[in-house]
Amino acid sequence: MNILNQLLNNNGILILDGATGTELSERGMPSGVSPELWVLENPSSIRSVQDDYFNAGSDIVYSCTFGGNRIKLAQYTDDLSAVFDINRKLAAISKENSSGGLVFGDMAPTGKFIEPFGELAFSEAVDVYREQAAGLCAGGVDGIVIETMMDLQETRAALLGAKEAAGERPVVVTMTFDADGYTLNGTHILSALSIIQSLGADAFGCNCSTGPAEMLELIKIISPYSRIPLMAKPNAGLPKLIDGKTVFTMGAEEFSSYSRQFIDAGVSIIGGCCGTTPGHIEKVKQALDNYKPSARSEKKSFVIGTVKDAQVSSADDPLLLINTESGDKYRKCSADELRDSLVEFCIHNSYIPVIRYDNEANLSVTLNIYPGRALIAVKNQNEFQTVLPLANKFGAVIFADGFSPENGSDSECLTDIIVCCNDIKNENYIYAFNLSAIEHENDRLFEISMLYKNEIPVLAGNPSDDLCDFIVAYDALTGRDKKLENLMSRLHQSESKPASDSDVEDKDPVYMAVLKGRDNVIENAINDSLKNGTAPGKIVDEYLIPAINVVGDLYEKKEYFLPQLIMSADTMRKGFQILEPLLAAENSSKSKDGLVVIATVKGDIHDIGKNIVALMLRNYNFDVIDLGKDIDDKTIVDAAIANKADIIALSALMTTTMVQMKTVVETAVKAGCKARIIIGGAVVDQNYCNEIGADGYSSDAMEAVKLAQRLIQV
Amino acid sequence: MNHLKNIPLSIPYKEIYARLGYSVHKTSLQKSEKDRIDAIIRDGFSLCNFQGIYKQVKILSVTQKGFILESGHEIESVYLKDKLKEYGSMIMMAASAGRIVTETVTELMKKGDNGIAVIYDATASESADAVLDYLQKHINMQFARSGMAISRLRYSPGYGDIDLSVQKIIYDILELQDYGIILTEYFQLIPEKSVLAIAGLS
Amino acid sequence: MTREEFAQLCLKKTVILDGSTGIELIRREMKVTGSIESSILDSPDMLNELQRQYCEAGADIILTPTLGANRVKLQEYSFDGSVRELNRELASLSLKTASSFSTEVFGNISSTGRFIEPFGDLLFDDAVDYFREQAEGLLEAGVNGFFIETMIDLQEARAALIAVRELCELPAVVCLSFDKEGYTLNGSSPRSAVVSLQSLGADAVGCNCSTGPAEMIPIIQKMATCTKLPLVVKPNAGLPSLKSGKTVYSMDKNEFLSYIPNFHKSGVSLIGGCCGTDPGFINDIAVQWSNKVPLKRESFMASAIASHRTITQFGAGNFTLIGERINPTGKKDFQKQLREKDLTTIEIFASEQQEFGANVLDVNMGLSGIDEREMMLKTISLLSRISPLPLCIDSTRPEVIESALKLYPGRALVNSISGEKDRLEITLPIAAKYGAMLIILPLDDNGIPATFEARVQVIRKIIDEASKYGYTTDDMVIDGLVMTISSDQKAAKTTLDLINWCADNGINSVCGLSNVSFGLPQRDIVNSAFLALGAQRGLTSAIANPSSERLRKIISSINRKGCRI
Repeated sequence: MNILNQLLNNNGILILDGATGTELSERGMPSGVSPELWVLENPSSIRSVQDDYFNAGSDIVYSCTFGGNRIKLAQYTDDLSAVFDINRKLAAISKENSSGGLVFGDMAPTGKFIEPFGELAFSEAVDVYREQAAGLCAGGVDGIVIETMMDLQETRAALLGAKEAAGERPVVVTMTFDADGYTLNGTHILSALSIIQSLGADAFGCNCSTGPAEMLELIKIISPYSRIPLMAKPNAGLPKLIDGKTVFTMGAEEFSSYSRQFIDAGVSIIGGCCGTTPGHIEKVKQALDNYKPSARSEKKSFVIGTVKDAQVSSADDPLLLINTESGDKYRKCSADELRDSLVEFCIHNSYIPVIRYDNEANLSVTLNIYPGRALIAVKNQNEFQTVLPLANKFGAVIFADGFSPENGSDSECLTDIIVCCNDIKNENYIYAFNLSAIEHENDRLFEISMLYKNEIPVLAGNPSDDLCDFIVAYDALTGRDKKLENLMSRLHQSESKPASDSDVEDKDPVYMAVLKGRDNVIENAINDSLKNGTAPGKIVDEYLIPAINVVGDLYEKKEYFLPQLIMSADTMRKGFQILEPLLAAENSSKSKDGLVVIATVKGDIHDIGKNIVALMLRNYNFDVIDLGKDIDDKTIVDAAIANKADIIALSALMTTTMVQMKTVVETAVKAGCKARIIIGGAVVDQNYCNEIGADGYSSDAMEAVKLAQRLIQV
Repeated sequence: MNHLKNIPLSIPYKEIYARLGYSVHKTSLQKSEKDRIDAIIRDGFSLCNFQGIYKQVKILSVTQKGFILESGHEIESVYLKDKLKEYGSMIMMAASAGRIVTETVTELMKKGDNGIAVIYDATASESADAVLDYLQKHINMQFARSGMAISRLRYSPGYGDIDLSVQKIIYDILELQDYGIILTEYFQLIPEKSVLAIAGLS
Repeated sequence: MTREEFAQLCLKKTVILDGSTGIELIRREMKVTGSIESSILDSPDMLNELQRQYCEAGADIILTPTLGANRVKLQEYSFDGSVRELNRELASLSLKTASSFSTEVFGNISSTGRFIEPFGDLLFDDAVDYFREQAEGLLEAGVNGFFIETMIDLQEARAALIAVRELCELPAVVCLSFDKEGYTLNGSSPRSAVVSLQSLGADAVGCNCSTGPAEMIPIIQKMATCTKLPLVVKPNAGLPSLKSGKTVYSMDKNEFLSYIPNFHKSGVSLIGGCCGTDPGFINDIAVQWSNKVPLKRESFMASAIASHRTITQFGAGNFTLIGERINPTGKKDFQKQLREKDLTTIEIFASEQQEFGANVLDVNMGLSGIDEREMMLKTISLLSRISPLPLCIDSTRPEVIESALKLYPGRALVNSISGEKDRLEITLPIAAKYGAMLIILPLDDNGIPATFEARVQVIRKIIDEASKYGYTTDDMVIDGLVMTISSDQKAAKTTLDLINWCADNGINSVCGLSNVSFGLPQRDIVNSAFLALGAQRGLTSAIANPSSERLRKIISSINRKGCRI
């Protein structure tokens, strides 16, 4: 048993220190320097700080090595061979001064992102932390604390590196979460707990980022699922910006009023972060003097952490379905496949890998780098024994597929093993119920209810839709789906019918296709219409055009928004393209209302708005010549003259390019071009239109159409 | 200099819909139509390759017109001065959604799938913005322990009196050419769905 | 003798009954003018001689010569005297004879020959009156008990037994006549008979007449499986044939005797003879069997209800599904029909539910604007005729329940008895009179208890109260009283705990499944899931709509595993 557990057994509660930075500043540390290097030069400062904390009641203080890793130190010094020594010396300074009090070696973020989220190689990160930890241990620390970690992968690297150097010493981890319980990269606190505790940390908790009130809520989330002691080191409230400085305003009295609640919630190691002082710690100590937490009921639980959210199960949670065959949460893969698609697994999606075991070497490499708890499927006793130590080391979950491991595991076993059988064998085994054990498909619906009687939390297998419906009902009936959320969402969904268009069934399919923007059915609808003998011109006049008019109106009334408008326009366009040759053949092509030359001005490459205006104008019976983007004034005017354009439409989206519109106006006047000039784009407005002497401005595509129609009339 | 790739963003549906003109009270959208649009948004999102770059730059002095930075650059903007004069440093930030989504949008428009293109476009724009949100949160966390905090708001060239030419200052400080981002002579960023911003660091 | 004494007697020895009376007297050439009964009054010495011989032969019980002494049969002979008087007189003769011996005299009541509603046109109440008339006379004379025999169907036997029980607490033996297929003329089965009659207060049951001893053995064996009551056989001496103008029965006493070991093995306690037997038969039987102790029957089907054709046992291996559809609540068309006294839908519901595997049919006629009692009786009549399934009488009105239980040719389940004052004080005694099985609702005048412990308390109180009427927990099915989880997420768990308690205490349980899902989507899934959870905890029955395929799937899975208390 390590020293941490010994102490907790004896004392029940351990008190950490508070903020150090401000304390050092008060003792003369200037801003902008590396605290580590400065303290090395001025050791009495840290001794004084730590004396204050020990006197206030701290059981454990942190060494002054927050930025003492090689990467952070590189900002201040070139001599990186000294990193080990720097840490050793700083550790020694604290330990020699501690007169029996405990010193934990402090490690914190490097500031770099680790693969696959960033460029720092995982193994390199592990090296960095191992190096620091080794130095700290050489200096005599009693344990290692990894704190203020914002990124799961970095935390893993730190923990793995620290454990390699720490020997028997405890290694504890606190991470930083927002008030919703997520790290910056979206790792939920339950996931973090699950991964860090199964990776072998000796305690886990939160520090920084939130005040005690918010942190308390986070602790309550993880407490039922934690198998190791919990830590809390909140800030003195939320920061305020006063006179350009960030200040924490919660006083010691208020801060310590939360202490007992933390203990009741399950914390056994407690301290303070930014904004706290020895005064705060003293109050905490007072509040907790002789305080015994109420007995916590141990709940059997099972958590699979990923880099995002965790899959959770216990007798109080909905049944956890581990569908290793299909589904959106679990993916079968080989160790190599996982290693090669980490980005896909962790960033684009949030899959939990089910690794088919093939060999030790590549499994080890993959588990090392995979930021989460993976499932490893083994087929026999042999494979199980081989995988067990790896699973233990990296906190993976073994899925004994089709057999049951005989050996009870000893207390060193950290791994969760899913055993697919009905018997409960051993505390460390998590039992899953293997669906394939039930022969009769029909009997499955009934047999699964047995899981609920025996409070089994996990089901492994490929449940049918029917069975999933039942499971949702079982969860609700047994109180495992509080507030019936899952039941309502799953069963409600399958019950409500999608709103059908049956209210307008009597409308023509071509009309409806345009109205609803269904460009995938317009072709068939038009062909059917032609087959029934409708003339192409009639289809245009009685279906396409009225439909797009209605769409335009709906858009103006804001009952349709942009995608609906454009999809309808696309549909109309496609329909029209089918009919155009037929109309030409019939000689019933209508004459166009006008011809428009449209372009995005020189220097500007935004063209989406322009394309939409072109689309709408075409749908409203204009001929449109689209010159494209980044077009100079001469080209525009020449094209307008050559084609006898009625209108020139100009688009610009930047202040730097809108001036080109003025140029076009001038060039057109000089060339004697008769076309009306209209402008559009986020940077321009009616005033600018007036200013440059253009003929009109429109704020969106529909307005452009209306504008063009008006100008043609005149 | 801090460069982040593979940023774990969640799709900002609400913002995308807002940008496309969706009005909760007025727009009539059936569930099947919404599902269709959501699926298109997801497709557009998966075409994006998000990157984020930021750097801290000390403010050397506050002038009448604006700031002089440690890097030697001068920013002329009364608006910006007003907002950030209390802060000791600035954070320069850049976010990009990558090339591919924009190229796809162009292809789609050529094919006549403008509806899909418009949705992809809005998705990429709002998501690039969301990357900046992420950067701000990230920076906050990084600096929190040292007692520093980033300003709540950020400011981009082209707003207020911050001239578009300030794009170049940010571009240079962040050395964005190393990340495959181009700034045209008209201060247009390529890939199109890229955005630059300035925030204050206390 | 008291019923208790009778019960003890039947445990200690094989009780010897008499043989044929009327037929034997005729064989002895008694002069017959009109009915046999009045003829006996004219030749009392012959009767006395015969009955003295029976007593000497070793009969423990002889019967009064009043086989056809009911108003209906007597009317065939244009009898216009007092039925009661007649019975009293005849009984007195037997009593006088028996007084010299240690033989008991039981009053003999037998069939009217007419079918009683719902199987025939004789009103049940009238039948009871006729039997009561007889019984009064017999009682007046001082008989030691009653022997109801040769009943052609269950309904008749019920009427007679009810009449007797309304008058006294003397031992009552009931025998029916079965054909060689093992059914009464009406199709009543031996097991249904036994279950129904024992709940009405019979002290021994069995069969007599109609067939010879061989055919009775399987019938008795069937009866033995469902009751702890002493079993009676009084077979004919084989089959009758006409020889030289005289009716002769085929068996001699040796052959007759050869069947008795089988009867003994089947657990019979009372043996006698019917047509074709004489004191000689009885003598031999008594010599060989009188001191043989009847075989104890260890197990028997408890917790059974019956229609007149079949029985349904709760918690005996198969899940019991009580079909809920015959209930006008929420069924507009059905309501309209009922108001017009149209029973078509009921027929359809009955046959559909049976087809889908219901074992019992719940019948509820609670609807404003109709005469609930009338419709209930009409429905019971209909269902007794067209459906083999036992019924569950579902009503809140004691008078409806009373009429229903009286008429119902079987043993019904009553839905329900709660801890409310009027249920315990009014409805419970009514149900007890007819020995109905009870659905117990764990609620009382304070409402529905929220916790399972509070519900158990109410249940204990009801069990206590019911025991005063002779009920044990075998006669009860406890309703888990499930409320909807849409308003209380703990509702299902409370009920499941209660079901668990019932199972631990060996008591059957039931649940109205659809209550659990009120207000939720896909109610069928939630109901079926709840059924599965309940069955895992020991639920043995449910009130539900059998049309649900999911439900049926669950029930067949439950049955594959076995559903036992």
